Amino acid sequence: MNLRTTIKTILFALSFAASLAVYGQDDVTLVSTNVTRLRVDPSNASGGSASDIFEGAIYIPLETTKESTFGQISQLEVTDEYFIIRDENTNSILFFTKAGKFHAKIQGGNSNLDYTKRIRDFKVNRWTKEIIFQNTMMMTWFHYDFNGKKLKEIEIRKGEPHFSDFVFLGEDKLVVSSGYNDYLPANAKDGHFLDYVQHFKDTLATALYYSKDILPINDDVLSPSTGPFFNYGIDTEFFYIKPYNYSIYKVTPKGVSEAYQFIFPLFSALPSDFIQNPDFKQKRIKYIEHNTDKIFALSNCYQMKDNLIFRANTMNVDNKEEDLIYNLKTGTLIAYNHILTDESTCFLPIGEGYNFGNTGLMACDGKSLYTDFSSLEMFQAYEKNADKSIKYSPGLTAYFTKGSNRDNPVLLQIRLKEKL
Amino acid sequence: MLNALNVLKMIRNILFSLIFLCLSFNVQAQKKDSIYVGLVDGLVRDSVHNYVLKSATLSIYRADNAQLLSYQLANNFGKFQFKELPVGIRLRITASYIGYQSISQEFIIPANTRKIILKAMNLERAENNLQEVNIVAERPPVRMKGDTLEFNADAFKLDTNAVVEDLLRKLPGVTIWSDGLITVNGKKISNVLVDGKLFFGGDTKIATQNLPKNAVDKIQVYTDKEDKNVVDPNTNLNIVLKKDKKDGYFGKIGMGYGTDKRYAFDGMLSGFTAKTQLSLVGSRNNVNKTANDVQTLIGYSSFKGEGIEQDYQSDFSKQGLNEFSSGGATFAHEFNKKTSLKADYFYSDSQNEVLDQVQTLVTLNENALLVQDKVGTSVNGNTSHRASANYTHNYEQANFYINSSLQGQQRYSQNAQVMESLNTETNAQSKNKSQQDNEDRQTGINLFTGLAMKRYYDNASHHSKSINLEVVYKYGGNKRNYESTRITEFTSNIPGEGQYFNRKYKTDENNASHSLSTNFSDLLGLLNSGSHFFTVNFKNELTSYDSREETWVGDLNTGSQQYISNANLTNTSHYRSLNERPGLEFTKSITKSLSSRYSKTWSMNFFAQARLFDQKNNSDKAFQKLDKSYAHFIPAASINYKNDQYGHYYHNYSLNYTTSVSYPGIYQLAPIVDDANVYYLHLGNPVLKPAYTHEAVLKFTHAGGQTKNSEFISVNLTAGITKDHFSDSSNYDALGRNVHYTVNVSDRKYIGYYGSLYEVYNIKDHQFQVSYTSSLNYGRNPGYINGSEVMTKSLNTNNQLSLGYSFKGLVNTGLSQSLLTYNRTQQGSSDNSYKNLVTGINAGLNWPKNVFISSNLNYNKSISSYAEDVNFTIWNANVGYRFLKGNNGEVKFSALDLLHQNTSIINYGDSNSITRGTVNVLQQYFMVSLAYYPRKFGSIKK
Repeated sequence: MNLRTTIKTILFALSFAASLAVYGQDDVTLVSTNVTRLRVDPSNASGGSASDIFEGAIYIPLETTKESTFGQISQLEVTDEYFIIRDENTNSILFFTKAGKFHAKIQGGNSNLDYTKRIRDFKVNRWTKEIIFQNTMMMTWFHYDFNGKKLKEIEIRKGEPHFSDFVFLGEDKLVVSSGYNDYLPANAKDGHFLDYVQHFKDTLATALYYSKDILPINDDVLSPSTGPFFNYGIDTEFFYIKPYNYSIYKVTPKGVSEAYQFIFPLFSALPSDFIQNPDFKQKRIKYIEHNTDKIFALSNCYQMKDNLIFRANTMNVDNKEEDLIYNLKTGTLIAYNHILTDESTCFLPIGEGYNFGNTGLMACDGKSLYTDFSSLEMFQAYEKNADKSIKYSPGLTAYFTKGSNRDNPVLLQIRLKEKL
Repeated sequence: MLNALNVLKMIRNILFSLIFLCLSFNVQAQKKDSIYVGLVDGLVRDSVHNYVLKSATLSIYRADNAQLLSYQLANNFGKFQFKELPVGIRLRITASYIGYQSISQEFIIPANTRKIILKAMNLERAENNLQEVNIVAERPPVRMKGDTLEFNADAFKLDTNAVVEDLLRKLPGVTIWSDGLITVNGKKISNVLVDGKLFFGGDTKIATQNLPKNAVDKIQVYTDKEDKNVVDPNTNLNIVLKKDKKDGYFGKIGMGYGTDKRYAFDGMLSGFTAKTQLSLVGSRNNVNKTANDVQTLIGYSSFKGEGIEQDYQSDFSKQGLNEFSSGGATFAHEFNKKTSLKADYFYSDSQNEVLDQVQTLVTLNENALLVQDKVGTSVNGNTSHRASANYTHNYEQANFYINSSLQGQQRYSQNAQVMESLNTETNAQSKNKSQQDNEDRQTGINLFTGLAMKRYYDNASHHSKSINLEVVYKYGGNKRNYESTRITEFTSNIPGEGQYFNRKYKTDENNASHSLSTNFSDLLGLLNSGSHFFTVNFKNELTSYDSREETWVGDLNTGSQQYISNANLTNTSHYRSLNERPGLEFTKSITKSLSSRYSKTWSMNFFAQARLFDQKNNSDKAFQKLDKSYAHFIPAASINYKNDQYGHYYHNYSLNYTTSVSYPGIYQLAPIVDDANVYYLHLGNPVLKPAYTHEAVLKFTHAGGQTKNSEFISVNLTAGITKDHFSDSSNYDALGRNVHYTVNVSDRKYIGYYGSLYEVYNIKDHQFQVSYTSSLNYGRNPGYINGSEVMTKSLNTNNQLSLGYSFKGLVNTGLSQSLLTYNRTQQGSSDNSYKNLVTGINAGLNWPKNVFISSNLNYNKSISSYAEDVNFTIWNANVGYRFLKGNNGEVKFSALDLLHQNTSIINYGDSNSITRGTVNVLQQYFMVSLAYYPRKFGSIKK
């Protein structure tokens, strides 16, 4: 079933509903009325021991060879077979098996010498089992398979649209986020955030509208370092977040719905008219810089059964309550950085790594969450553990005995308890 | 923007673990006895939210008298463990954490098990939920507040007279080095601030050795967020004064008197308020204690607390007998956070008497040597005044400053000299008696104003704004008035060669220079079109110089006893020069990094610079009229490679190539020749060409080791070649009279290295320091002597090794040795060489309380190829005692040069001569000194 038929079917079913909508060239309407409102006070989030919160945690050292050595993980995508990693240091995309064994690599050019060769975010097409990416010039799409083999290069021709933030919803179907567009055509009524696109060029439908009156605003947006789409193990479902907004939207081939809406305490919430009020015009970033307790965006949003995982971004460098786990059934709120490593995690690091501030809990495959630690941190912890009698897994034993603090980063795969 | 935030977070995490978490250990060792064997284990938690409180503070007191026994920060698991606590007596533990209510509990460590495991200490949040407010009646000794480490001064019980430096010595992880450097767990403290500001110009010791510990509320250690170097930002130490101690004064009145009419007076008074600092200081002595600026003088009068060191000692190497007076004032005022004014005034007067006796051997040719014996006496006086003011205004992305200074100087000297010269080949002898009275007055003004602006990224508009531009204008004006009378009497065993002069010289000189330098960086960055392969900077410096000189010279008419104008030497001249140096600089840097492993950076720089030089001279004397223009290309290039292997080592290699050009001045081209300079007649050479130098410097730096023990090695290799080098052509007649002028010679070459090694080891309270420096310089200097080309090769080496040991600031000892050698070979003559060897030992002890003893001994050995060895030893010792309430009184007995052996050796060599001799110096004296330190803090506002 292709996207067009899907949309038409759903449209037929829900055409009478209102509020949030995907308007399309076909004038389709899709909605959700059952938004879940969540009152969350991050400053009151709990902690706990790793064994209280994790069902299991596995450290996966990523094999270090001359070929596979990389710096740090800027982007991680988890497929059925591979961890796919983008590294800015070496300007490469690397494939490791689920056991951490090096599988393949796509080497970009030397971006130190020529910045135009820098590889931008890659997208995974789970239907065709390929990844596609562009370099800084954004003139060509490079298609590779999961063995690192180049399949094709498709040049973007003059007049064709440029996409950068998007995800695949099907073999040849995308949903594209354009953010705020300060340069709307004069005759446009309103702007919109999302486009449903087919064949990389044909827009099927649009969604998430905003009023033209608030423009220009894009220059005044402070975005988190990840997003705006987050996958949590279902190929055709993504969470989507908007700037200066506390809602998590669910994007599916069928349409967009507002899944969760957070209400934060006054001292950490942005003014409700932050976007509309002209007094804030061109002062929004400054306001956030000066009010470092204000949550300016959500990111890293995932759902695994009743656990909703998200990051409430602030500019406060000491904030330990940014990465949160909310149990939808019990209302338990846990701050990830208050979780204490213990025997179940071999007293090895579980949070607050050097890279954690950038990427946080960087991926979710529906069963597990993923984050990473540098070998420098792992070995520091290992040395501190010398006085404890810890039973490391065979994989970790091999890593600590044969490896060194110069090895590749180590992935941490975490399964959360369902009942928190 | 957000990446910057994340980088900041990352850095904070790294620094936090490197610098601060090392503090989770037990400190403040108390008097231990057999009951100090107990151990306490525990855990601090927020039980409501179910997490441990990392870095919470735990303090243990005796329950009966509230004496603080020990404290520490909880570790990453919220756990703590105290060792060596008394068993069998009631103790109290207090746990505190920012934003939480502190809790206490009492316990006894059983004497039999010697161990107690406390129940988890559960802290509850303070009700008002404001992180800034810490609802604790009793503040903990140390705590983490955000990323600032804070020590509560009141928690550290010290002598009532202790100063901040004594407090710092007691703080865990803080080290004060023998050279004054302060480190916190190996991290160097870049600035010591008082209430967030520099204190009396920023000399660390003025703050740490004067401010009493009891005036301090807390000491904060934090990384400087303003620092542009985000990877290795500066660490600052801020002394926060108590609310009622934000103002105060401190000072010193001291005097000493000793044998041989030796005396020393010192006075200093400094006052400060929150916005203003003012200091007055003065000193007078005849024991070779001198200072060149007002900051140094203030530093000398520091109070110091328990660990009294000797750093204001007589300089026994200073030539002659000296009487030195100085005084000055500093003023600083902060109008607001952006605007500040600083002003300094310094006065100094030195009177000096030198008696010297030297012998110079001049090689004339293979067989002939000129032996010159010289005996001289001179009385010199130098009075100078210097005032400067500095106004700064900082804008958000630019800063503006005006610095100005005025100086006045008056010098006089009276010299008498007898020189006898013998030519070993011809046996010709001559004798020159000369006498000079000189008086020299100078006044000058300097103005320095600049504006520096930088291009920045505006977050609001997402655009880069402004430009990278620095413009500096300098003006210097100088007026000089010089008067001199010189009597020269030359006699010889060769008849008819005698000469006699009695001349008076009067010179008025006025000169002014204007210079404008412009530095316009990253021109391509203005295009705003992505990144560029090179960074291009434009630099220009334009300087104009103008000097007018009027000289009147007269010879004494013995009949009329009047000075009659000498038409050959009397002159008026006007010299002007214009120096323009435009240049384009191309820089490129490439960084290759692997997160958490290494960062390697290659950078290359090419500076295409031109130098245009124009000089004009107008003079009464036709031969001095000059108008010459020169143009040269003076390129420079460098390659640098930096390799930072995180946690292992840091290496830096650089290769720099520079070119420079020296232009001959009027003195070298066409000077007015004064025939009264019998032994050294300087002529001009109008055909002199500019000298052009190529120089290459290769540098290597290694820094490594752990945070506690560190090592630092640096090596520099320098090689150069000068085309058309300015060298001497000297013609000696049989009587040793030298007529010389400057000539161009081909290819002067030189090569040399400088290396240093610095290592530090800390073992508990013991600290060992090793430093070694070594240098070698070799040069080939062509020249002419009596018309034949002579190549002189010289080799200098210098090696210094010193070893230091200190224990808690109570004991300091050191050993050092330095060796200096010089060797010269010249075609057709015997080699000349000399060596100086100095071996020293020093020790200091601060014990018992209020008593300090220090002593140092230096053994000097001087070896020369043509004279006998000279050996001597200088041994000094001091003992002092502090008394009165507040230790405001000090009595000190000093015995200097106890062995009465101090001698000053003169040893130097140049192209074809080597000189050796002695000068009178300060010798043995004993002195008793008394000092009173007036001090009050919190004197103005109560």
